[in-house]
Amino acid sequence: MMRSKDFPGTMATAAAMAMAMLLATAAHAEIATIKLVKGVASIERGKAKLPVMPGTRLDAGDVLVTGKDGRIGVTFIDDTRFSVGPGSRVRLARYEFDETTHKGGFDARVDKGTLGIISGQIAHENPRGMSVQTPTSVLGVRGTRFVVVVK
Amino acid sequence: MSRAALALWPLFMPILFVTGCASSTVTLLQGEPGNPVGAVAVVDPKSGADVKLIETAGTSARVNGASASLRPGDPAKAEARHAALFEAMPRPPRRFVLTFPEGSTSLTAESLPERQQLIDEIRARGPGVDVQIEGHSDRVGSDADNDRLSRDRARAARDMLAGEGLIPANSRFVGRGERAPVAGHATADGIEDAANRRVEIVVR
Repeated sequence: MMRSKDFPGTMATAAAMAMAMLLATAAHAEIATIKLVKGVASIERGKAKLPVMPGTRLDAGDVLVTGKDGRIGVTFIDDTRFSVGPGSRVRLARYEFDETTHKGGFDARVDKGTLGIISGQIAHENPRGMSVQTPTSVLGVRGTRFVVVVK
Repeated sequence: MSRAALALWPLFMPILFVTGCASSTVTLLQGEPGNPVGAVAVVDPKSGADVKLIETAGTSARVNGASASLRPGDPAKAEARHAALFEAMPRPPRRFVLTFPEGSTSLTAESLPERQQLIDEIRARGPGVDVQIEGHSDRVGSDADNDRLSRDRARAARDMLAGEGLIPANSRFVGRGERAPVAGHATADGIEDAANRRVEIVVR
């Protein structure tokens, strides 16, 4: 009797754990690789503050942080490239990219500092696919190379 | 300032901080060599509609919500102002194509110079390089056989790089069978096509 009673509960627990693992995997889909680091720089992932070096992979939701002499260069899987200048906070708020169709969406947020951007396939495929937000603005990226400064 | 205003002053501080201090400036630059100047739209955060379009290199705009005043400028001077920023910009991704004989996972002789350029490029980029390897086939043989063959070709390219001591940690390989022909090479089923028997490699 114990066995038949406990079985569904065990199954439900196992299913919940499997689901949690799937979600964890989905949340950690690799979206970019750090190519270059100078000076003091790190990423914030949730509550963790992680060191960065060339080869460090990034997830959607990560925040790139540089000190007053820090710089970070990043290449995303859709070929978008970022150069984060000193004294900056840049949040990768949303990143979705289908490597087969090249469709996706990318929202970055510059809280402060300087960000150089060369857009990639997401903006190329859809003129409304990529935006850069700052505390006072929303910019639509229409396939281009530009700089955003937030003071 | 009256005593009452002084007492209330701290209450206004956060408002001033949000609306008074933060300023956002966007500057459009020339495209990379071979690429046109693009454009950046200033979007009204409330309606989502474009309110201004910046489309001339060197032009800056200070943006506050839906208001933006465009300031034309010299593209060369704008470039010089941000030179240090672009020194830390990663190099553009570079693409390579290796070709294969019918049904084979060994490179064609014509691919050998491309193979050498690929190896040189990965070495030149150093740590942080990542390599994306995508195998393809033509339409001779079954779909299942071509899925396997395209994957074997991608794996052969990866093993070739590993043999050169180049095993970037961030590399991925995938086979796409016969479903993604080269532009202009979409053939009927069963037709052999040398251009489609390939591995495409992106070095980032």
